[in-house]
Amino acid sequence: MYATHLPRLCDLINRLLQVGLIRIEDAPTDRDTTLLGHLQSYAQENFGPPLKAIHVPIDEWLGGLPMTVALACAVGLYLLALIWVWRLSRDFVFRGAPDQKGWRDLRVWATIVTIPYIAIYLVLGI
Amino acid sequence: MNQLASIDYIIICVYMVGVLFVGSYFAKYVSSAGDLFLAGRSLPFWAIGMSIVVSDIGAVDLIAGAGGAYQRGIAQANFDWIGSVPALLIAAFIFVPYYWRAGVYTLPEFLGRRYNGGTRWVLASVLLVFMLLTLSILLWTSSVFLNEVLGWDHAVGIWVTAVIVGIYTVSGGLAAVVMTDVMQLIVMFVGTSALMALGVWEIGGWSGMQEAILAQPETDETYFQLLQAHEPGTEYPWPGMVFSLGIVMSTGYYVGNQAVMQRALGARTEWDAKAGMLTAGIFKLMIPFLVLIPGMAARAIVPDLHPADAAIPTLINILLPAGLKGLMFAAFFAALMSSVDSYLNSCVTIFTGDVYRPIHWFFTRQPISDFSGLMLGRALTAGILVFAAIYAPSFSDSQTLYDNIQTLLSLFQGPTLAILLVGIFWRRATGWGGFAGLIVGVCLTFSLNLMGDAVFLSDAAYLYVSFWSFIISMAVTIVVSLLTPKEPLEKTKGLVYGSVVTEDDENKS
Repeated sequence: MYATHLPRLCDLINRLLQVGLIRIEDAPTDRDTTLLGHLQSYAQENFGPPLKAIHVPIDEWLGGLPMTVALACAVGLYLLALIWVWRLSRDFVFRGAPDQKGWRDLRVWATIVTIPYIAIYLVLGI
Repeated sequence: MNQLASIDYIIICVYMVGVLFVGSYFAKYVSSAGDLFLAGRSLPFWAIGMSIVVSDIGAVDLIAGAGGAYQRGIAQANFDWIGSVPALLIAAFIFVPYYWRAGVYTLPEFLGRRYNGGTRWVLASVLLVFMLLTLSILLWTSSVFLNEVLGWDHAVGIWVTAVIVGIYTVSGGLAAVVMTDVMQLIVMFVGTSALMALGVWEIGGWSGMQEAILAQPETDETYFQLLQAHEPGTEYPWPGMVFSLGIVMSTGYYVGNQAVMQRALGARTEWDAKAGMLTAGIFKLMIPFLVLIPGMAARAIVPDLHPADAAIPTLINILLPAGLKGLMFAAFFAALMSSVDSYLNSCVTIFTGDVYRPIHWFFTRQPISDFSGLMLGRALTAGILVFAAIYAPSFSDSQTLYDNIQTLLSLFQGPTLAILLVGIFWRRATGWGGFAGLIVGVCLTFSLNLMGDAVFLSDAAYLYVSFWSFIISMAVTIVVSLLTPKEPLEKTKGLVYGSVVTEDDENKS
């Protein structure tokens, strides 16, 4: 869903602004005097520099990491989620279940659900 | 599309009649508003899981997902893989228990109880507008599809879809929606499995597909890598995929989506609600195999396809024999109908619960009776469907509009997740804190998207926008909460982490 929809935000904004409020791609060498033009300028001037100052060094650092780190992060995310699930109390996991048979243990379910994802990332990750 | 045989038409018609029959069967179980909106809190885990998956995957996603895989390779699968399971675990074990125990009908209602009416109204209004527009667009898409396959006039296509969905949604409510979703998931899986199997067979298996695609000059081995390097020109850089999609965007999508959460709220027990989310994780695992592999197979078989979104229709025409073609088209129609019925039911639930109920209380100081709620819900379901059907032809440019509306909704994902997390894990969070966090977060997301490349060097700026809006919404919620008076202990009981909910409390709710 995200792949389909999110990258099109600029297109959305352009369409919203077809009524003549602002342009995005060739924004603004000449300062735009419309309401959204002001908003865009304000955002660029006030939020842009501090966010860029934080984000660019992170961006550069991430760019220098080997792909094995990427794989470790992806698999680590699944493993962390699993470890957290296994730390949940038995009472919480079984709450609402008619009995406490082994197959109703949702920690086991979470493990069965997660392992194929880990295997896929190990095989096709990098 | 016009090469269908008689057997294909029969399969499509049998499917339509079958859905109508299964949906209508559940009317006899509906005798109150709770039955209509939450299936009388009787849904089993397997139905919840299957329904969540099929409601999430629409016909547009089938086409666009395969098109994305055709162009960019297997990295497209991250949206269903790393974009589902960590989030579904978090939803199952953190959010669902609180939603379910609170006994609410809608997500805005939960936020209203935890924070204040303003937060509830902002989120309810956005969700309502989004769902109304989406309903009209989906009905138009359906008419386009029926026009292509069966040659029906657009108006006939719109009203046939509206009548079929309307009959079982008005009479059977959420139970009918979920049970028809189960049927629709099976049809969708059978249809797409056939396409995947024939596609892979045609090119000599996975290794044959790899050889054929890697032999093309414009592709390299990264086409078969899930994690892509973090460098300019990469569409899905791994930090954005793992940290932003895997933690923020996907969790925000699942826990902030009324259509998803309504199924969990309708679970017969808290255990079923949690197990339903995990069941959805099992089915989500298969989606990339069923949708993306046909897209990749199309790349191997027809390398110069334009546009890429034509991958699945082309493969259907090349590979599927009579009978299977009908099944595949039934699968597309299933994906469409499951989205229409889900949005319709959720839209009516929000309208009744978050708009009409508070207004009724304000003027009469009386709650709505169960019977009145049921009648109102049914009338609204019919009314909203008629409204959406009448306006559907206005959305002839539906594809772009649908994408844009979905994108607009995405502005709310990071901030909604932030205020939900802070609200559940921090008792000190106040109504004003949550309201400010939501509003500032949405404005910031919009601003960051306006700035785009001015801040983010990557080609996938949207991945980082969600992450930052989440962080900043959280910070704003915390700061404003500390500057405003504490909420009384009674207000947050049962809504925050660590607060004990007794059996009595659950029964009352």
